[in-house]
Amino acid sequence: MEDNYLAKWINDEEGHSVDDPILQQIKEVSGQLTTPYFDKEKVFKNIQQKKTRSKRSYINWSVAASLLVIIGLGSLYLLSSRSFETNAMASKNIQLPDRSKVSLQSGSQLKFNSLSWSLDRKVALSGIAYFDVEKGATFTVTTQNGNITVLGTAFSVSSVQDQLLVRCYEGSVSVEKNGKQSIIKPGDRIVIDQKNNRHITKNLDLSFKQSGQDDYYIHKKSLSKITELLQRFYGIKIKSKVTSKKHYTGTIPLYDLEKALNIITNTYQIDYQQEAKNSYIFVGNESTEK
Amino acid sequence: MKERSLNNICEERTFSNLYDQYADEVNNYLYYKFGYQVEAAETVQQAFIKLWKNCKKVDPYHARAFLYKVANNLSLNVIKHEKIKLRYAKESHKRTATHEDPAFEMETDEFKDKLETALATLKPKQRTTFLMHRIDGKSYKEIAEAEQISVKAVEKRMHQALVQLRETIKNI
Repeated sequence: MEDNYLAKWINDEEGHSVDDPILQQIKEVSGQLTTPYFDKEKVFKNIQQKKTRSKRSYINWSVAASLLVIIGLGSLYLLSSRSFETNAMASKNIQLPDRSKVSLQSGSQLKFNSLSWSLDRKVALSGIAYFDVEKGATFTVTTQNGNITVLGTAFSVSSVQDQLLVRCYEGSVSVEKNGKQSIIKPGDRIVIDQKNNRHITKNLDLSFKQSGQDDYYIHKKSLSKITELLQRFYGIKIKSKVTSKKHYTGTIPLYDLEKALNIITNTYQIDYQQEAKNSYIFVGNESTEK
Repeated sequence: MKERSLNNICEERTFSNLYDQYADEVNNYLYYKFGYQVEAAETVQQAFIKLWKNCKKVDPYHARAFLYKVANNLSLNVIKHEKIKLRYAKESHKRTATHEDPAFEMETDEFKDKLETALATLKPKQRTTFLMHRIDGKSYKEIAEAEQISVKAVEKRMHQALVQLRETIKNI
């Protein structure tokens, strides 16, 4: 008999016949059989569910993992964020993680992150501060009016309103704003005004550097701007009945209100009156004569 | 190449088309192996999920072969884990032949029972080949592709299945 003859016979291949009744019956009946009910739809629904679930959970895992990392690092970063503020007429001495010292002056704010400190010595300043920086990697003070970078030195920064003033006491200090860099040496002072003009004054007296009683240097400010400064430094309210377009350049003390008010009123030839405890008013000379 | 990338299995429509096309035959294939429908349906489910997970790697033209291969591997696991219970005799759907005389019908039913009993004595690969051909009407070539063997090997299985079935039925 030919190899696999029965296979050819049951496959209806030509020239293959079988007389055996059982085999004939097997062929006939097996052709009538069917399989049990297979719930194709239900199985497909199950597949679809598992598909989306596996897809969803895949996304969830990656998203969850990255979110956790972000939240973790983010909160660690935020928790490591340190912020210091001084009220009017108050100063604060702050020691940074590398033992650099900051004397934060009246009405100022200083922020830094202790986590990123070891990688990047960076503080953000709004207001006035005196810095005595330990030697090390670049130390950066960022302000709204420009950035100051040093390697290790003593300097003061005031970033008040739209004016940046930096004084250098030791080493050298680099001041950068809008991509333009200026380097100042001990005894120098740089003022960058709102028009981005740079005024460098050399060889100033350095003796008052650590007194904490630093005067604030005003470069060409109008009376209304000076009024704002006084309010900020001393935490007072000043109404002004006088307007003047003249600009003042000079210093005002940060911790002596009477002296500060006298300097300004004398310069502008006006008077001031105290209305309430922390409330003052600038009046013209004529009104006092009346 | 262009057409292939358009018919990506990852696309919902392609996937559900493939399901429509192959779910029944894969289910039956597994049923013939197991003799147990619940297990077969579950394995169909697993096989298609596996296809979905590999949708980027598998070309739609190779989906059938992939499904059989996966089904086969999964069935190996099933066999390893528990002894397959063959239940053709109990589970088989009774297809009543209409317009037949009752005596013939009874006789046919009786023979069907005998055949089912005999099928349970076959080796799974013989039974699978026999039933794929008889119930699903698969050609030997299609069976060969699914089982990844030669047509000649399929014919051998079929021949042996018939010899075995005849022998068993004769002795019942």
